[in-house]
Amino acid sequence: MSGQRHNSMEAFWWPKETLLPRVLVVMPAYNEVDSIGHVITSVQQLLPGVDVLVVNDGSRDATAHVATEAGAILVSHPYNMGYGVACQTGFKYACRHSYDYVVQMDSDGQHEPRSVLPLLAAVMEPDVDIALGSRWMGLAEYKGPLLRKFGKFFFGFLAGILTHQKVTDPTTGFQALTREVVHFYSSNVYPVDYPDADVIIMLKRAGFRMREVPAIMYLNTTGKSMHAGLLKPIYYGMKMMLSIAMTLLRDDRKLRPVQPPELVNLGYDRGGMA
Amino acid sequence: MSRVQIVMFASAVTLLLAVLNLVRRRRLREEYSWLWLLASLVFLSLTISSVVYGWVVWLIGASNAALAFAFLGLYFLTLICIQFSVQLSQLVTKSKNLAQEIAILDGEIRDLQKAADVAMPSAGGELQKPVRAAADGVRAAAGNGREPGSNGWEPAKSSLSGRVQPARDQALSDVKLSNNPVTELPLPGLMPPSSSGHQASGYEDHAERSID
Repeated sequence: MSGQRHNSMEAFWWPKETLLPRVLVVMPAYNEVDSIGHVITSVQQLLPGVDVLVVNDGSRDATAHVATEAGAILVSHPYNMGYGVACQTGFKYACRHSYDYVVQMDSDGQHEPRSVLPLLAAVMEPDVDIALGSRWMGLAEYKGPLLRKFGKFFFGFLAGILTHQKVTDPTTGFQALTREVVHFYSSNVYPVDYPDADVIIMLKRAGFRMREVPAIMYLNTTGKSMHAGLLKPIYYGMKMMLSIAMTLLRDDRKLRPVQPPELVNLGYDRGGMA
Repeated sequence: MSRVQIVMFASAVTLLLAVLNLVRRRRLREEYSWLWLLASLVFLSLTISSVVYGWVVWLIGASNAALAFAFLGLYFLTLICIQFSVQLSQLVTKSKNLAQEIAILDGEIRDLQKAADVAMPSAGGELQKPVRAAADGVRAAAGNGREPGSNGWEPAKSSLSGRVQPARDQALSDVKLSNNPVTELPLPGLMPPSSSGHQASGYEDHAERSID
């Protein structure tokens, strides 16, 4: 049914030119048929009236079907392009449809849907542009492998020094963004292969204000981590160091876009807030 | 002229002519040919003029000519490879952006089709059929009629239409389920504002949100 996108009757009665902020939850998905339906329904139950966008990154299973059945908006990549690209597609969609806030979360059930609420609450405060969900702040449910802990410590330390702000979870993919940050992410400066610590430093240098918020994350039970294998963590470390060094050499303040640069705005913008 | 110089001269001329011919036949774009042309011209001047040759060997500080040529050749190859990497990076970014836009537009088209089906349940999707057939024809033609039995005019079972089909069927079955008089609305644009009852605002909202 068409009404599936809105879970409550209130959603129907909102006037079109509402003053309430429009929120989009972006979920990149690659072969997540087992978990995605549950994640979408829990987000919709917790936050009725919030749109859920599933970016299907060339899945070979029924992820797309399950997502539409659960009432999410679906955008499907023609072929697999990776996690970062899928996130960026979601951000571009949000730009195009003038959403005020975007939450980025995983569709594999690692991110607890209940933690969307504190993230959104934080990002809606006037002195915050981006709220990062941290799995290591207070709510200690997450116990990762040793290498990841080291990476977390090292890049968190580095990001902390470079941003003059404590960063406990530099690799988080659970974040809430304002419209401005979404525009920034939609531009070509966004590193689409591993958007982690370098993005945090880039955001800080571009003048955005961030806050870390405790978020519940679970261990990946299916074991298909992005950073699996022997060579990938080494490559990741090297690439991240290079990326951070290059970020420091650039002046990203100039790169901060006012308009989403890549997409032609076909009159979708409600105007005003850009 | 030593024998090695003659061989070098012949190779440089062949290279120059080959690159020029490729550009003439539009197999190689001008903007990617200049580095090759520069390389072949440098080699040509090296083999023709003993002054340039002696100067380059002196500049590099090579003990013999072969070393100078090897150095220069490697250097040009490296430059050209770097140029290719730069072009490749740009192409990757561009194709990524294109694929993202295709994905977004594809999603919006599907939403619009669904909204149209919901807005016109009495037509049962009949009104969209000619449009869809035309769209399928265009898709088949775009695929160069690779599917058997497709002549570019009849709707072909292309991969794209195969992917869209379940969504359409879903939309049509949705319409059948909601087959009650209240939802049977004419086109939203043709409707007087007073007739848009509260019951229907859900659908209307959906149709508008898709465009909004």
